[in-house]
Amino acid sequence: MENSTQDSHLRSETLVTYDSPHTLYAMSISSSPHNRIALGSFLEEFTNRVDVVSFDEQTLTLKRNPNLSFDHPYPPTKLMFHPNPLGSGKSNDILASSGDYLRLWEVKENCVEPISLLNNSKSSEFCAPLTSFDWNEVEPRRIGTSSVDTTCTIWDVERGVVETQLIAHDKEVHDIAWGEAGVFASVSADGSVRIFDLRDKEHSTIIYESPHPDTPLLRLAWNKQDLRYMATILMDSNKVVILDIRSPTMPVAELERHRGSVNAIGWAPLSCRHICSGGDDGQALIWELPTVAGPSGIDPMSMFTASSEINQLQWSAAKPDWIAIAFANKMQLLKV
Amino acid sequence: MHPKASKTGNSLKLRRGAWGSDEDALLRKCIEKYGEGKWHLVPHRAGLNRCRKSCRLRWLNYLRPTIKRGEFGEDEVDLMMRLHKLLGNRWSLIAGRLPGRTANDVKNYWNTNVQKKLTTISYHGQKEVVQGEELNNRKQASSCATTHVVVKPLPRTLSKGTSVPCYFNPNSHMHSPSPQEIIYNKIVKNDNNNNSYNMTINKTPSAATPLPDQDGIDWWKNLFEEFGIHGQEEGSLEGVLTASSSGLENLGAQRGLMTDESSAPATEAADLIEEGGQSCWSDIWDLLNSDYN
Repeated sequence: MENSTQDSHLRSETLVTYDSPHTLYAMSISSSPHNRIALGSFLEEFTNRVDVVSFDEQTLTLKRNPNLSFDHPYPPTKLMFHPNPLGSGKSNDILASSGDYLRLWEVKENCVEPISLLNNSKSSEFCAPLTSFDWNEVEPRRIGTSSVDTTCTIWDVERGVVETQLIAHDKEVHDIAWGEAGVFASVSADGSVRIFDLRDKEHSTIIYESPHPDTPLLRLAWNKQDLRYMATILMDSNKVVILDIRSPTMPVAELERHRGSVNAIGWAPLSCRHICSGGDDGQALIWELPTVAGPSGIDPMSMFTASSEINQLQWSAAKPDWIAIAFANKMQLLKV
Repeated sequence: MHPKASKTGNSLKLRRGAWGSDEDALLRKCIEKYGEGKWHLVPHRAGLNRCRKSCRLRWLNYLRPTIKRGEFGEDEVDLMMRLHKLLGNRWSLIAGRLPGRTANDVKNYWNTNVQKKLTTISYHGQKEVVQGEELNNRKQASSCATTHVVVKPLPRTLSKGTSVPCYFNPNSHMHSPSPQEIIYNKIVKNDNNNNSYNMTINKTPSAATPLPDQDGIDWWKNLFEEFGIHGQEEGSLEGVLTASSSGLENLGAQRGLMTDESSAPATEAADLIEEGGQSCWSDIWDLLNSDYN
């Protein structure tokens, strides 16, 4: 830890800020005792960076370990730590990243080493960019990736082989989320949310389609506490659409209090009724879903305003009273 | 329809075959004036003795001013081949990535120029898949290059405005229908009077698309077992850890938020709204705001 640098400022009981040298986009919080946060740069060039900072909840500080920073080809479209680090059989954090390929990294005490590069392209030099991925919590050997080539690929990351690749949509797939061991859902530029069951690959089930045909859906968050619910966001829309898979095609709620496009959503890790959203209006809003929506819509229960557009948001599973947001070159941890 | 059309007289007989330059001009003029779309009106508006489909295709594939003409460039062919490897014969998707090229042109080019080559020359040989200069461990990487079958599941859509019907299974204490009932009732367009979903499935063995076996639908059940659709697990969700400080007490919410009024009992609705929670969260967040400012 001697080469750690003290990077945080603006400390208070409820807010910790980290200043990065780069614009930030991808972000993940580890569930391991290391309390690490991985941050991916968003630079419009080939070489990008991933930094790993550790969060000390006692002193409310964020420290970057320069030994744990590494180059990443293209900006990572998503970063995610192993969802079940205790069950991973490794003492070190495992980090996955998507971009040109899916990659796994082992975050050791003083260095990061690549474990594998997963490329599903049969032919040599071409691989359609990956837009996102999700690591299956129940079955951690499974990672599902989504791609602009309209497919989703399910990897067995332990064996390093493709379990299956599905043409999931008619247009680019923007995001993917696991529901349970063999069930995932994806959203696409074709405007649909589709559920897939790996035990029945004959069919997918469309459970939502954006109201204006072909309005792309960008992100999907499946409520891990109550799998009936998922949330999605539309391109250039201030709405968070809440879906109940029991009443397909009709959203159960639309949260419309952002004053700009919504960019990121995250369900509370321990509550089935709370969701946080962040958007171009610089606001992070926490919503409590009521049982019945009033005529005037649903208001957020709390609000935080950042100094610029919020691009990313992660609700810490290990420390559920902290939410991390990323805007411009800052990452902030907010205590809820 | 054609036999009828030809019977009623020559004037109604639509012209077929190659388009003349005069016809092209008429179609162009029409679309300049009215814009693209509403193809059923186009033959009349343009004064063309052609069917609407013919007009549409003529416009989209030949007359549209954005269409790029001429030989395919090296880069275009390269991209076409890469995309074809990924997407197969999905010409409109491929054309969507080649600015100005139509699906039709791409398909024609492929069939006349590329396909032949591919059958004679093994395409690109087998190059090393991963350059991987950043990788120490290459055995994992190379194992990924093995071929696999790409599956295309058929999407099925459930009818719009589906409200969840309330089926009761006499053998259980379910209050609300399990999702597989809903889905299967919708999919097989089953008579609403049929209350047993088991019967529903058994009755339709010859549906056009094969119904998944029992395995295939299990996940819906699995999904729902956890949160006590049978009413056993109320309030037993784990992880109420932060509840005391943050108003999350109401996790027990068994039938949950936003239940569709028409379909599910809203009896517990009022209980679920937590009074204290909101102010607590807001206070904390107000604090945050002042801290930040």
